[in-house]
Amino acid sequence: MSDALSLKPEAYLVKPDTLTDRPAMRVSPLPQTPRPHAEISVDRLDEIEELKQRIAELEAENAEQAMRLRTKRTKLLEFEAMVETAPVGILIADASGRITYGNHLVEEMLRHPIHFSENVDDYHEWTAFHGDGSKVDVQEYPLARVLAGETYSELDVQYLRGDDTQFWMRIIGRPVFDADDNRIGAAVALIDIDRERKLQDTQQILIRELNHRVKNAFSVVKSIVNQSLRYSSVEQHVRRTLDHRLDAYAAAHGRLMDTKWQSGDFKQVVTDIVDHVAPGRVSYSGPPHEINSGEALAFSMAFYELATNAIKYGALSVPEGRVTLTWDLQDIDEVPSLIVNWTELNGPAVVRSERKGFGSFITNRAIALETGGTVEMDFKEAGVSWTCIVPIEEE
Amino acid sequence: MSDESRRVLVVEDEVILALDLTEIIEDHGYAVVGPCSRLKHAERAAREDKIDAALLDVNLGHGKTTEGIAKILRERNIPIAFITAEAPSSVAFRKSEEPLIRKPSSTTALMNCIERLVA
Repeated sequence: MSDALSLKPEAYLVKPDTLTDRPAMRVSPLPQTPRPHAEISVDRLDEIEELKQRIAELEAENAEQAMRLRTKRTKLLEFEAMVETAPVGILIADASGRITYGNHLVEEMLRHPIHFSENVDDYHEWTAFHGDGSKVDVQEYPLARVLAGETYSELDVQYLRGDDTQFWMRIIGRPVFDADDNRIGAAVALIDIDRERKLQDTQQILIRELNHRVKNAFSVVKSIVNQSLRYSSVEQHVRRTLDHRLDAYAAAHGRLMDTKWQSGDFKQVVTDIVDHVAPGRVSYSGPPHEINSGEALAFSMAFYELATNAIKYGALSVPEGRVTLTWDLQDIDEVPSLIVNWTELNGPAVVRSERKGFGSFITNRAIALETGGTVEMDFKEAGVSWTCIVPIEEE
Repeated sequence: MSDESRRVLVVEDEVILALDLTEIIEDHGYAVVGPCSRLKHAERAAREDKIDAALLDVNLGHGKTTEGIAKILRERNIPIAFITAEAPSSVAFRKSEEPLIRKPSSTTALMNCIERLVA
């Protein structure tokens, strides 16, 4: 910037036409409008004085003009400095798509000289690929899209650099308007997001690795249990049940890892369990609803226990028995709530069990604690009816 | 047990673990406050309930910790033990005199710790 300020105004006086600004020189008023005194005065000295004064005035005017130009020139230099300092590549195209300007970072990032493409069709000179490996079409580039009328366009591409290496780049495009708000071109910023993408990839690998290790840990636990119980007096079905419970928990864990541990769709939780444990024998319906990971695990385990219990002792132990599983979103005492109901029909006469086993622990205390909800178990003649009401908290 | 049972607050977000811990502690003659699997409930209990000692899981998931709970309990001079699956050094807010139990823990280690807390 100091360079720009030190430029001498005289430099511009010499060749004002080299500047792109409006014509710097106003037409001199001297020949067209002779001053009224000229006819009256016969004294040439006076006339000379007057001319001298006029020249001084013009010089002053020129100096002022030059000053203004210098300011504009300075601004331009400042702007150029900004563009060159910005840590992103910048390309500018005119309304026809012709690339007219690019900062040095474009060449640094892309490792080839800027292609001053003549129009959008010529953008094929730039080689970039989508995440799926397909080549980016000329019309897909943000520059082309903004020129075609969009007000903002963004695209992540894998760019093939001049030295045949590739890197991930984000392209962001915006239109350029003139003073009258006409679109006169477009500008794009090119951002190197290679590091970010690689970190994302690494994260994915780590998540998969963690998932793998957790699954392994579950397998090891299962083996320990099996080996410990093999030669003991514990009945085989107890062993099997333990095995299945650990499986159900491990499976629910696995799914949550796939969804990055945040949340899952309620229906997915339902189908994963009932279609697996009792395929085709449970009819389920309800609106889309996202539940958090802890709740998803709790419901997975509860459905597993309800389903296996129904198969062993309840409605699903006889051919004509069936189960309906419904969920709905309703206000209970003015609190938005998720209401889940498992009802068994056409089953054998229900025997109310007072025994508090692991199953009832999961379908009752555990789920109530996890969800902050309430559980009601109704032992009807035709089958068990289990209702869980969970208040939906706004995080 | 009788009314004189010592009361232990249990904060643990893994529900099955929470209920398992509760049963173990109750089997040893203590009363359990909670168990609380959520921060909000745990905070209320820590502030209002009659508590003789507290067993706090460190990490409650989604970036939440029991740091705030510990602060409330310290102000009430209630002894605390932490329980975590992570390395002891990762619990930045633990005071050196507060014991730390590693998960998974044995019943003996757990009960020894609680007995020392309420002694």
